[in-house]
Amino acid sequence: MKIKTKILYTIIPAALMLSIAIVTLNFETTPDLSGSQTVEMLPPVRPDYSSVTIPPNIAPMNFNIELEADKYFIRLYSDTNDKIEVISSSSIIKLPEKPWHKLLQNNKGKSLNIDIYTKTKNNNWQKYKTITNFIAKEDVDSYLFYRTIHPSHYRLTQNGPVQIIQHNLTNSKENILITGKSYYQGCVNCHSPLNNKTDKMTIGIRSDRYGTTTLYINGDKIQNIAAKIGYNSWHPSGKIIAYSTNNIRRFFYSAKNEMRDAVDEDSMITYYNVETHKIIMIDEISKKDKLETFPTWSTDGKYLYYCCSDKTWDNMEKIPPDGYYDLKYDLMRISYNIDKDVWGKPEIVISASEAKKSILMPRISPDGRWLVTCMVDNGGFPVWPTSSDLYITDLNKAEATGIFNYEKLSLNTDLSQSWHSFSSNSRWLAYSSKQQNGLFTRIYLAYIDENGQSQKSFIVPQKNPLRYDSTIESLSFPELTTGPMRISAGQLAAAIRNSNQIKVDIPVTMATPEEKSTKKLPPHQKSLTPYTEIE
Amino acid sequence: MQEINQISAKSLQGKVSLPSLFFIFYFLSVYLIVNPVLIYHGGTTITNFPAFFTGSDFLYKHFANPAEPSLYIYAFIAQFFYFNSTGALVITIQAWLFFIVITNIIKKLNLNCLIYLNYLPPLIILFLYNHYTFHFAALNNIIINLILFLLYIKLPSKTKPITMILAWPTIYYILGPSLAYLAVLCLTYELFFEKNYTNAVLNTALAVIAPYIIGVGYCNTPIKEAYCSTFPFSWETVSFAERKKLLSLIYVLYCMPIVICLLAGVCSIIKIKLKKSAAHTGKPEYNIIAAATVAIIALAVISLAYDKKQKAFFALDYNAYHKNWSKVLYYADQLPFNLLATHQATRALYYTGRLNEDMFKYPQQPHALLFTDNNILHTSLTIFDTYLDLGLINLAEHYLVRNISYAGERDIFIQRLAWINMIKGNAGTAKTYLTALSKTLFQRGWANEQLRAIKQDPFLSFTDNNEIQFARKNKIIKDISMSLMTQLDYLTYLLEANPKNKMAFEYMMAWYLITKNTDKFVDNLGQLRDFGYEQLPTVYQHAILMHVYSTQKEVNMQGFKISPQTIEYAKQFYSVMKQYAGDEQLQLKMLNEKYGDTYFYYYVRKFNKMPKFSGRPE
Repeated sequence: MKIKTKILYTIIPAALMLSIAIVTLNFETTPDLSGSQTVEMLPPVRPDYSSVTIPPNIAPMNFNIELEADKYFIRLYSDTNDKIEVISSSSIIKLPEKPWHKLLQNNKGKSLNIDIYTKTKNNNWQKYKTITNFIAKEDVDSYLFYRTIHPSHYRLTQNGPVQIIQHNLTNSKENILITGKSYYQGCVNCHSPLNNKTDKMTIGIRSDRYGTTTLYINGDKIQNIAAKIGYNSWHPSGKIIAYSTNNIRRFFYSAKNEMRDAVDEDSMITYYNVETHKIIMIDEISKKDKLETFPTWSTDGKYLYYCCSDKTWDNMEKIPPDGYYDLKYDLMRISYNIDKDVWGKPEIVISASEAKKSILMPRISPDGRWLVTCMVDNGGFPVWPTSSDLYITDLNKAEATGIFNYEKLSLNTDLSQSWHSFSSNSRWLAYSSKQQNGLFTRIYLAYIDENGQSQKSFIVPQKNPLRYDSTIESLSFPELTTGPMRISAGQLAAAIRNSNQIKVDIPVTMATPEEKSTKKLPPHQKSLTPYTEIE
Repeated sequence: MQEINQISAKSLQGKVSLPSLFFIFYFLSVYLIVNPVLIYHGGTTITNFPAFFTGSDFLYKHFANPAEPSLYIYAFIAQFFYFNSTGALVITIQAWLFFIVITNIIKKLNLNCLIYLNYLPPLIILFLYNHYTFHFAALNNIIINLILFLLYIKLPSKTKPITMILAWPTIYYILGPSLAYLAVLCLTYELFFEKNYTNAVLNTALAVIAPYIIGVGYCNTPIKEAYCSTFPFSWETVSFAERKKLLSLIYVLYCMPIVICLLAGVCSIIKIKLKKSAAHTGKPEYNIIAAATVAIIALAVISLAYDKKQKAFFALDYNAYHKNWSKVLYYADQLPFNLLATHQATRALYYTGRLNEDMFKYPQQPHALLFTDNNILHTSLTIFDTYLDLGLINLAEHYLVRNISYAGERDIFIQRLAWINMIKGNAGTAKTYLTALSKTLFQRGWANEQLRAIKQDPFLSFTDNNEIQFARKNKIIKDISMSLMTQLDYLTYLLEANPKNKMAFEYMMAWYLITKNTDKFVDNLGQLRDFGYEQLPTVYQHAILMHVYSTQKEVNMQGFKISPQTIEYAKQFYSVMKQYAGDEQLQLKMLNEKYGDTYFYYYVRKFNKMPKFSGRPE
């Protein structure tokens, strides 16, 4: 036998046996916990996955035990006999996916209990108080789309581009759907699926080379619309998209802890017909002396909700302009008949002067029952001010009484909550929050029960539970969908670069915001207000 | 002559060989002249220096797309530019690998008459680094492809097809589109040298198919990226002026091996019998004249390549970041027309207590004091440090996060951002930056130390940390939109927050002097004693005299005196002014010769043409 062959015949079996030995030695059975001491405190875990309500199809909620020990033992169990036991010398606990899903699926509507034991050398096991979570009966939509961006908001990112990520909530797998690197430092923003499905979706693109356009995804087809469609909302019929055109100017505070802010110099709402490729003005909500933004359709398509404020300045020589700190948006709505393409009269839904808040970002649950808004002390961008909180309105009651009452959701913290969206079953609310660290936005999921009450929310699980600790990007703008994108990243990039765009006549009136301010600013006002993205 | 060469060759064989000598000399040149740590820092112009983080998240990110695995490795290696010695070693190894591979390719292709071309790539690499460019990934891609090519041409012909089928997709996944370069080399070799058309076709087909299947099909990479992303003509290089610098030399390095292959092929086709060299028979031949020529060329390249201004610019930035003030001033002296140099010199003069003596030795401009009036588009490390020192914490943070957009998640920015958030008391944000920093190679120690400090002091009171307490004391309190603020506003509000902020005071006085607002300057003389002045600094004396001269008004000296020497000096200045009063150009010329570095001259000089701001050496 040749030497090489001999060596192969020796090495391969030896390697196999060694592997088996390693696996066997590392395989630990349940430890003897009979002498364990009880510690009367809840074990600190990070992320905070204690006392939360979770969907039964969520990915394993891996966590880190914030206690120093040599060994950790974790047992997860519920009412049925399913249980998961993990013994680890690392404080980072990664739960096995299949047993996790089985445990959750078999115990919908029941508690999920987590017992944590720690052991140091020469000591017995210590058992902490049981963490009790609740498994909801309703699934969350399987996919989450969100945007990553550095807090700088500069779209001219040479490194760490703006991206849209597709995140599978059932197994934490992620794909980059769009990256600015694919089209020469481009930026991507408003991504809006129709009815929580990726069959029809719009994605706003900004690129120095390829222009400001909107991708319109319709099944397997992509069209590149040569128009900037800002904050937008699909009519439930899928025939039209209402959207706002904004002229946003960013500025920075010299001393405030959160130094970033932005003012919408001008805005209005129009709508785009996806079949005729026409943009049509809505005279009632495109007033020169008003700022109209954040459109969202009611579930039956009969009303368009939006935010509106008086525009108290004539020019933007100063940033922010005079009157900015008193700026508060009312929540309005206007009726619409899609068959006749007829609009009604605007009506106030929630008055800013009564609420003493600026009301922003209305979103309605797919069952038409709940309206959730952001309310901040003033201004038009809730992502930065700490006063930004989520409020809920029962639309059924509002229709019955004519009064749109609102209630602050219990998920709020003393930092910003914003950019919320509902799951297709109206039970889950995804939103952006800075509660984890103050600067970098993260995405949370909260259960909304039949009474409109929110349960304690939790941060979207990751395979590495400590990933958020060192991620210096903001993850924001969550949208929940029932399925993945059927178009590949390559196709999307190709569509963006495709010079074959659908030309759209954009009606220009006195109310149309200037795309970019052409006014000459004094030298000292130039340097800090470049055109940028908003988080 | 041949006997002399043979004797010399024999004597050399027993000692260090010529290539070894050359690369020792090479290492020393890079270490002493280039200073790779300056490239690590970026000098405000290198924006493609890769960040590197330990841990699985960063690692897994680099396996999603073709070429990312190699970029991960390059990013790791590039971190060793952090130290001069290891950076010089990395560059020398790059050059040496290129040398070895080219030598072997030339020998394998029987082109020994061109053997000394093997010194050309190292010299080009030295030239590239000597001009403070950073084509690190491109160089590594060329080298690795050449190594693979060398392995390929040593393979028996029969094994090549199966090797290509197995290896080409793997190489594509690791190296990305630069597989095409390997394919071109192999194609040239097969067509012209081996004349194996089957292998040539298979090679080409695989080079075309692999990117499509793996890149476009499996990894969902856009088609253009799948075929072009790692080449010098990709948009990531050509879209940025600083990354395009000396790109032609990269193309020379790309083309050189192809040309060698073509030459070898042509020679073999027309059957030119090349002179058999000792290398071909396995015995090295040392041609003393050739060796001397190479050495001389190397010396000349280094001398010619050494751009004093470029290096000064990089060194200025580096030393300002590390607060080596004497070196900042040294390099600022070499950049007399550069506003960034003036800005750094001003800062260095403050910290060495000479701001009010020597500030007008540098070409002061109003914009250069704080740069808040300029739309600075490119990275500038030390500008945010000036803001941090003064107490303009938010402004510093703004520029730092912008730098991350331009130049990546570099540890040099993250460290400052962590510090800023510690000053601001933002524990969560500080910990996020520090945790990220703890995953870098060379700042992890500092990061972990701060994380421990925060763990013990979760509310970030830092009562024992003098630096943080000092920064908090100086922090601006006035909260308005920075777009409404002028440079003077910043300085005024800083003094409102802390009247004892000496740096803000001296900068404010400097501002008045630079803008020739001597009224305001003399109005603030009363504060000098609060800042410990016992005597009037020279520049202040000059300014008072110019104020009196131009306004004919008396000045409340606040107990200070102008020295007799200054008065005498002023008289001399005045007499020169009078002497050439009829000819303004000549007057300024004569004044500049003797008094060009004084406030006297600055005050009377008119700015007919404001020099343009340029972040680069002029």
